[in-house]
Amino acid sequence: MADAAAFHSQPIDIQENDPFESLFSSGLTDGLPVVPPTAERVMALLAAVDRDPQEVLGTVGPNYGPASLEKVAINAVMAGCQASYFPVVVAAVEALCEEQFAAHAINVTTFSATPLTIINGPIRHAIGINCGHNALGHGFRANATIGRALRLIILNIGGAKPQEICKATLGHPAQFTFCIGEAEEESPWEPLHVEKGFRPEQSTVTLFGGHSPLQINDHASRSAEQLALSLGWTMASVWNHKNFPVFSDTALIVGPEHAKTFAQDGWSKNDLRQFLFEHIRRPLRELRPGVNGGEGAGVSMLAGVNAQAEPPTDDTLYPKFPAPESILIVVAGGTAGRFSAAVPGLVRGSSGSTITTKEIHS
Amino acid sequence: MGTVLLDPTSRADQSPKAFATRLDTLSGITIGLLDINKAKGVFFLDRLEEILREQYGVKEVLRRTKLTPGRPAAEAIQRELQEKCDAVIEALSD
Repeated sequence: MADAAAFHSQPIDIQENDPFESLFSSGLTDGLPVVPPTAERVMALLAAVDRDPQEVLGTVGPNYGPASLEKVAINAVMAGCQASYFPVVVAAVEALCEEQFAAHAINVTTFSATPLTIINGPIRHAIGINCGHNALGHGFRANATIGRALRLIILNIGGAKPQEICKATLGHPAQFTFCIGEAEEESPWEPLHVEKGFRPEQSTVTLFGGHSPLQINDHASRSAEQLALSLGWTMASVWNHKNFPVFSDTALIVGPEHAKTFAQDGWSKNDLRQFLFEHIRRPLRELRPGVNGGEGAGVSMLAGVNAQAEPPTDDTLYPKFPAPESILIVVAGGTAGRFSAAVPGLVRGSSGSTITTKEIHS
Repeated sequence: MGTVLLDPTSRADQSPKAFATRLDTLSGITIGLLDINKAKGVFFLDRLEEILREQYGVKEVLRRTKLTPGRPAAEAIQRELQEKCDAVIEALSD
């Protein structure tokens, strides 16, 4: 029997109290019941990686608590993870701790951001990650608990308590858990991790600092161009319909039927990105503050500081997407139904969050 | 014997911290204004500086700006504010 004394973490002696209620009242949960982190359960997860339990993977913003493997395992147990999921959680925490991912910003902002976790490679099948029907939804333990482990780690190691340092104005349901696998077998394109320079037989986790998904219906477009315009103009509403360009990266989760339409016309992922960048544009006259809403072109944009040397005119076109590479494309979902989904990101680049990929070692 | 569970929390520094001594007056002191670098924050802080100087007799106002809103202020800025100021206001706007 594993002994709590073998761990560095303080034991919580709950005596005769109901462990579920004790964990709620200690403020250690996401609002749902958690699996009580006993020494035996934590030990089982740590055994899934051949590393020192006191090894620190990094620090988790906003409070920069050190994420030792032991602490990560305790939270993963609470989330409901099986031992086989633990290497994925470890890689996700490594990404979460990268400075460029900006966990600090994601977890304190009024914007209501949360990490969207995307899993690629053979580990999807090994641990039962759902990539098909209901890819963004409920019903699959691996997806549900890996995403939830990150939320608990952000809460208990990062210190992001809601209504305290976590100031999301609205929040959204995906903040409980948001983990998908790419449907690589249904995709006409190279998978995300290969695009990022990994080999197909490697497994990776990619974190995208995102908002809630916006499902896009299109059952009628039969050409790549029609479908791209349809998806793109619906995506044009993210953040605000006047935010041209939008301040963030945008994840586009393409349903398999939609992916087929692009493939039939020979479009690559880069073709789709380039098309969206070039065609989803609005003239400045529609973007001026006060036209259909107070939001709109900022002072520097109106003065032409960022766009071009000459001050823009009413006819100057502004793109929705700041660059083709600001659109992350991943294929997921079931093979019936012509739907895709867009996930708006937090501010991109050096002042915000950068999409971060880590290899999963198992 | 009850069930023993392991604590999931982790903090960078768990030692207790005392509050800084409260100020009796703003008159004649140095106040730091840390702009977190969001849009239009500068207008808000300009007005705040005016009020602090004219209505409260603040002697010096040290203005510093974070590189980006989403990351902590550079250590040099944190150190300078700590060394030179009697009080610091971190301010944002949008």
